[in-house]
Amino acid sequence: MTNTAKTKSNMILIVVASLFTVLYISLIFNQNIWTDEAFTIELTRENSLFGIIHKTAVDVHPPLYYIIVKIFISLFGSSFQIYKMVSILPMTLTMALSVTHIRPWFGMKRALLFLVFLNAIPCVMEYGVQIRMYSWCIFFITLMGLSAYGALTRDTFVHWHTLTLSSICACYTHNFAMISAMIIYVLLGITLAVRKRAFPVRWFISGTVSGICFIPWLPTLLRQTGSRIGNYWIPPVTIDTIAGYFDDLFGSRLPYTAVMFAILFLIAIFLCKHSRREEYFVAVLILVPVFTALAGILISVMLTPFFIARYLIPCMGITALFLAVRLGGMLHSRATIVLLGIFLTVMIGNSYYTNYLSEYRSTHTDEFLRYMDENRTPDDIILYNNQEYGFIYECYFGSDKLRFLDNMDFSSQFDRIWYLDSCVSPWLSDVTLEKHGLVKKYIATLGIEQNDFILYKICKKP
Amino acid sequence: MKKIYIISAALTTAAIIAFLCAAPHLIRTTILSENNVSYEQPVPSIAGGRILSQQFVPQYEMIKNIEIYINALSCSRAQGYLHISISGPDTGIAYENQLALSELPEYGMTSIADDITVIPGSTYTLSLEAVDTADDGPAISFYPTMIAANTEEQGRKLTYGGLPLADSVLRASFRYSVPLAPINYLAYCFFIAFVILFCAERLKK
Repeated sequence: MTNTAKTKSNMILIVVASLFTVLYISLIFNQNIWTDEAFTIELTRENSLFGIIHKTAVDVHPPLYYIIVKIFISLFGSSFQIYKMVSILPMTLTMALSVTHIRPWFGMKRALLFLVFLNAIPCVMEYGVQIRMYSWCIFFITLMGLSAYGALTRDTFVHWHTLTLSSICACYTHNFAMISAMIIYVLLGITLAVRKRAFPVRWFISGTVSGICFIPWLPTLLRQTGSRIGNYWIPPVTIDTIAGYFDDLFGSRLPYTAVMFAILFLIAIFLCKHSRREEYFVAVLILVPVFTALAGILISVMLTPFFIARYLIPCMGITALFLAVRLGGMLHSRATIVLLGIFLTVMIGNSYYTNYLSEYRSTHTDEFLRYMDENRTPDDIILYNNQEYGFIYECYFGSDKLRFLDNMDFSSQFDRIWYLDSCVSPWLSDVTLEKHGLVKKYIATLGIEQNDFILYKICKKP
Repeated sequence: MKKIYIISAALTTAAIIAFLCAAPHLIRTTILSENNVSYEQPVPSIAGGRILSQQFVPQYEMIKNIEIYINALSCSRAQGYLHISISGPDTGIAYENQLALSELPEYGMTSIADDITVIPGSTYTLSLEAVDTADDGPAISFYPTMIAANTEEQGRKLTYGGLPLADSVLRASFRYSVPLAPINYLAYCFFIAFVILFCAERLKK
């Protein structure tokens, strides 16, 4: 390939990646957040870097993502859009891998296919704009998979170094990304041992360094796991839930999307051959999500339910890489390229439209916030009865005037109370209000993202 | 090579024709019609013959389910049932169902009627009555304003105990099962064409 051709190919990839980034950005101009996103916001707004590490040690996730978020909000402010941009950045970085790694190693066609497949997988666009760590996991695990391929085929210091670094980052971002990282190491080790018929020393050093770097967090991880046994929120793993994993990741509002992806996987596995010998390692990489799911199921069955489908999202980058490399190598006629291209473009459109509806059209958040802006005064109290949602409301109203029903003192001084009733226990009885000379008036049934509630106004009886 | 394309094209055409014939029955999607946001009032009781009836005009032929907001927190659910009936434009009963109170949730949107075939644009009446209850039975929510009406309830009557409730609508969601918009079939057609052509090329090699 000439330099001009390389530059032209890179320019095309950069333009496509930029267009996808613009699509992601267009999904963030809303005020919707759900419980886990509120957790991220509360943790990073209220704590210093040290505090974040301390608090995540109490929760179930490692701290790296929250530290990244903290750095960004310290630099650029803490609006919801900045938080969401922090999640879009790794998606752009993952797409940049098509320029830095995939095109040079696998060619332009497969680099372009990687971009298209990555964004056509329905769950990727959904989690790519959420204030959670999944997009960073996608980046770290994809970089790790590509670095493993680079280490296998080129055996340079840079690739071993990147492999080690990306694995450490993955381990410190999500526990199941750590499992995926371990599986990549195991697959690479076996491949190297079989291929070179000798003990892979560099692999051993890289793995050992990663392991040593994770040791400081290991006691915390074990303690977190131990403390959640028998009392974690994830429902038990059944045959139905296992059968639903694929649909959760690849299903969309268009019926049978998951079936079409399943057919593409079957074709990629059984009908495609690698065009060069070393490419079989990319085929091997599809075992990463499979073994991660098996590990999750095993942990859930043996210890306590710890695994849900979205913990496989970190593997979606290497899944897209697998499809792009396997199918891309076999697309020889223009007709198949055009047909697959149109199909995947429709899938991207479908994925985008699904997420557009979910981000902008599915909730009453705007109506609720507009109403509160127009009617609430600074001295008004916001009262709620669903304890779980406390930190969601805190993201919108701060903590000064926010009260959980059990902690509310109705005899204290206030002008008005806005009561967000999620129709769960504890209940606010009319007798309690009567006793304090108060009366409640129904305003509307509203909600914030997935949290529906009835809004009441509570005032002194006239 | 040319032969492959001819065979693939023939197979693709046959597969797409078969798909397009079967698709309206096999591939369906759901459309949900809900109330707009408004004030809410529960009907105190629909027991003792105080039937709550809401007229509605369905938008599509196949209603997958109708949900209403029930609050059964303060009633005994040990005995009795909720009688649901939908009478059609020809005054005949189009649908009838009984839900034991013991099967109702404490509160929330509850499906009361499933899989009903209707004539879009015709006026139907949904009637709710609590029968054989130990007390006043569950409370059913309605909105005392037409602003909250969903498309089905727009301009239609809500009656309680035989008396019309002015400017009021039942809190209800209508979920329809409808064929996909034809534009969506393009995705399936291109997929079928790709799979057939790709497999034909691979098998030839």
